[in-house]
Amino acid sequence: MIEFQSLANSIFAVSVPVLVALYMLKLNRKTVKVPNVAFLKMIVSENRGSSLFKRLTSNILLLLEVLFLAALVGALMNPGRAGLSVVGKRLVLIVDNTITMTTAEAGGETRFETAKKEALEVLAANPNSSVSIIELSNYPRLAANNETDFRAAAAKLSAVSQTHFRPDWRFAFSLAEGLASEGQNPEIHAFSDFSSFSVAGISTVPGKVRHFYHVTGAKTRNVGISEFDITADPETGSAAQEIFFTVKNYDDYEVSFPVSVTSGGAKLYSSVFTLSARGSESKVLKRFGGGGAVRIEIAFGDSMPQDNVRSGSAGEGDRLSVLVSSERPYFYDAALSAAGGLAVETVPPGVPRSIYRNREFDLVVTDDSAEIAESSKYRCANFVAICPPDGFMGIKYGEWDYDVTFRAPSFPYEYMRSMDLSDIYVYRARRALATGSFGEIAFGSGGVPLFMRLARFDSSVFAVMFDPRQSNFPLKTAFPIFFSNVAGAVRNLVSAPEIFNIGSDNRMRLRRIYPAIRGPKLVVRDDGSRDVAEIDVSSLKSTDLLRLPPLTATGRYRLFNASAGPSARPVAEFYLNAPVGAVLSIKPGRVPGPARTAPAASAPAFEASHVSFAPVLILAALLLLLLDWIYQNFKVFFRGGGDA
Amino acid sequence: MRFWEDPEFRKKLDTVRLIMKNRARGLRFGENRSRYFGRGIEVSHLKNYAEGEDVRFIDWNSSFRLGRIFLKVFSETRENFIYILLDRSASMEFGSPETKFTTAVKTAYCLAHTALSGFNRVVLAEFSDTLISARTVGRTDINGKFAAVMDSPPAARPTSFERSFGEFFAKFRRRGVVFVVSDMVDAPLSAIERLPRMALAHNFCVVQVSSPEDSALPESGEFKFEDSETGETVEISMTPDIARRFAESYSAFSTGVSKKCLRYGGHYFRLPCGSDPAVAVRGIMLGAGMGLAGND
Repeated sequence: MIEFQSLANSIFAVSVPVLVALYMLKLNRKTVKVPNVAFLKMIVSENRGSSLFKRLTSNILLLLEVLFLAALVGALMNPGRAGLSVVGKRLVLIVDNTITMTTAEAGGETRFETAKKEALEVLAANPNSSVSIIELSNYPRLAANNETDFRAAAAKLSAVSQTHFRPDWRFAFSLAEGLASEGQNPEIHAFSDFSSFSVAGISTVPGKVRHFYHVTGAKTRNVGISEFDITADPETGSAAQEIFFTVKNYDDYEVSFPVSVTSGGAKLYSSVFTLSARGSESKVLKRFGGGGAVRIEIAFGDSMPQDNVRSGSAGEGDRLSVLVSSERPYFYDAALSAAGGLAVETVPPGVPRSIYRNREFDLVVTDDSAEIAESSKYRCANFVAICPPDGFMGIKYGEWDYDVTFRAPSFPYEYMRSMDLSDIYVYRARRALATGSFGEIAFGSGGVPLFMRLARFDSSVFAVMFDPRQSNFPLKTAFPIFFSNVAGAVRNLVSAPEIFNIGSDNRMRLRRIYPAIRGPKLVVRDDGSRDVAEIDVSSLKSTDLLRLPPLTATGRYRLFNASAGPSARPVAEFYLNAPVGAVLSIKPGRVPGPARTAPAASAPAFEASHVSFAPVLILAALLLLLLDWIYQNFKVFFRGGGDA
Repeated sequence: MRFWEDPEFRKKLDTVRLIMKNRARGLRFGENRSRYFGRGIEVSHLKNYAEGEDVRFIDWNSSFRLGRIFLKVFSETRENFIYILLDRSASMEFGSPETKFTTAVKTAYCLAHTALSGFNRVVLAEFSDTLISARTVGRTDINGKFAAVMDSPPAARPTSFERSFGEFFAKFRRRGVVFVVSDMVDAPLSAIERLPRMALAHNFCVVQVSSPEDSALPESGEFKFEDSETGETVEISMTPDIARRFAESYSAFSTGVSKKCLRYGGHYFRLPCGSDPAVAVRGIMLGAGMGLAGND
């Protein structure tokens, strides 16, 4: 992308339409009748050749002059290569060199090497800046401070080495904020896979310092080694060493995978780990004799890719539309109506329910086993499933349980927060077992799940494990509250989060903003009203998801119609936050020693100014001027020579 | 008042007589020498008398001197065919102080009048892209016929020497003298190519009527020049150089016509519009070697 240093000089572009207007006036020639034009035709070379050629040649002069003016105006605007910022910045680069960065990606390159390459690109793109580099490890260290020499900064960056520690993001960002506050135009760039990243204690609200997050590494393998350490065994003396490692599953489902540990090429340990959702397992191994690199390998087989799709900004506004799909809908209809703020629609008896699947609802309430099983075919993403069938999301039923008392949850259930659950009991419920796919589970007495929620980024399934009509559950008071809370959760889900994260596949629902879209393209502008990306929406329907472009800076962004002027209202806005802590699989091949000493900086070769295209444009303008002159005088030369 | 009613014009016109070098081929009596023998006033030669011949033409002097009877044989004077080809194309409307067409008509009138005074047969043919009309002009109706020509403006048609001359040659096969009164300019500039064909059929004289517009253009400004005959346009930014080159082109063209005429035994006379036609005709005659100064 080209950036212009003197954009105000674009006012001179007015000369182009003026030139065209003058040319039009010139074309409005005075018509004079003459006895014969045969002699003129012999003289004027413009009148030779085909009519198409005549038309083209008659405009060549205008074309040349317009190009000349365009080149001149372009030179006045002083364009430069995109990224080569003319602005002197205070850059602080946080380079992650923790254990997870040892992961070798598909191309064979480790994440650490990729991160350093990206950091080097940022360095090269900001030649006028002073650079500080922070090594991120358990104790963040300053690798370079206030370096203004590009080569020296690059050398110090390349000297940053891999460690086997865990990161301390909070300390690193505190240090970075402190360093950044010293100079003008401060920016903090973090290069990491953000495996253990947490925004707690880190200011992600864009203020004076802008934060850029450069995510490296794949996002589909979410099982990894979160801890790794080799220490001398205190019990057996220095001859033995303890190898400590922790494998963690960051997925929302249970996975099994083989783990093997080798020491100096010899196999030390091999086993199959089965980890529940977000569970972890640690091992301590002993090795004798020491020496040789320790290698921990995780071989993946059938692990499912993470559903990392988020969406937001799709709320219709005040009223949620709810569909009740049941043979006996009156109970649910009454309970939903009592909840208030909901537009309830009921599937009439005898009407095929499949025709409702493509219609837009915010919530579907159903006790129909067949429809619950087909929930993936609905356009609506939020379900309240009453008595879901055996096998739904891993649910398995057992015997009937009578007089099930409700146990108060030890952790919050958002959708039942305002319900007094302590006094509630259910007359009869089947014993149910659920897999880890369900996040929030409210148990009855004897460990019988009564409410479960499968929460995903863009949808939710609320499962009610009993039939409220067959129990003595206090229906008239509790169920409207339940539905009201579910509606609140759905409303939050579909309307509130216009907040996305760097590194995620961020998608925005088009439904709400679709009427405001004019033209085939949207422009993404940051808080400084700078165009940062363009999105083609010509092929999207109102029900589609709008994929947001990959952005690296946190802060507020706005979407504008590309055809609209600068003062137009935005179509939508969203916030981009720091990456979510998604831990990824790693294969540490070696544990390096302490960091090497940084090599001495070479001779200063720091570029003092940005690479401007203005001289090239001025040369082009001069060339065009010469061509123009040659063209205007060509006929005279040619004809004169012919007569001679 | 018509121009021919002007006493001064008549006076000038009467001083010109047409004498043809070529032998007349007409059938009727005229003032031109012909290849025919018969009645006349100029004795051509003597011949032996044969019985029955008219004794009034016996040359008694020769008869007595030589002892035989000789009869005088007279050479006859016959009429000659004068064809006047008058250009009526749209380009003839230009000119100042009078149009080329007016000058051409006056010149044609003078030519016709002079020819008729010498007892010749005059055919006035008008052409543009085709032969518009061709009519015999006599001494009694010359004024009327030229009045009709004057009253009808030039046709808004292009010039086609190829077609109009072709039609003329097909219609008038008797050899005579052709006066082409025209600006000699058509779209393909093909007048020169027609002259050899004309030289085969007739004696000819080209009277090229010219106007300032033929050779002078503005030296500066943006113009769209429209051809008065074809409507074709040429857009050009005029410069002194282009104006000069235009004038040179026209001059070169006129010189080319002139050289071609002389090469094929014809005559050429350039006549700026507004010229005195009587004087011009005298010049034409002298230039062509067939004029005779009268009593002026």
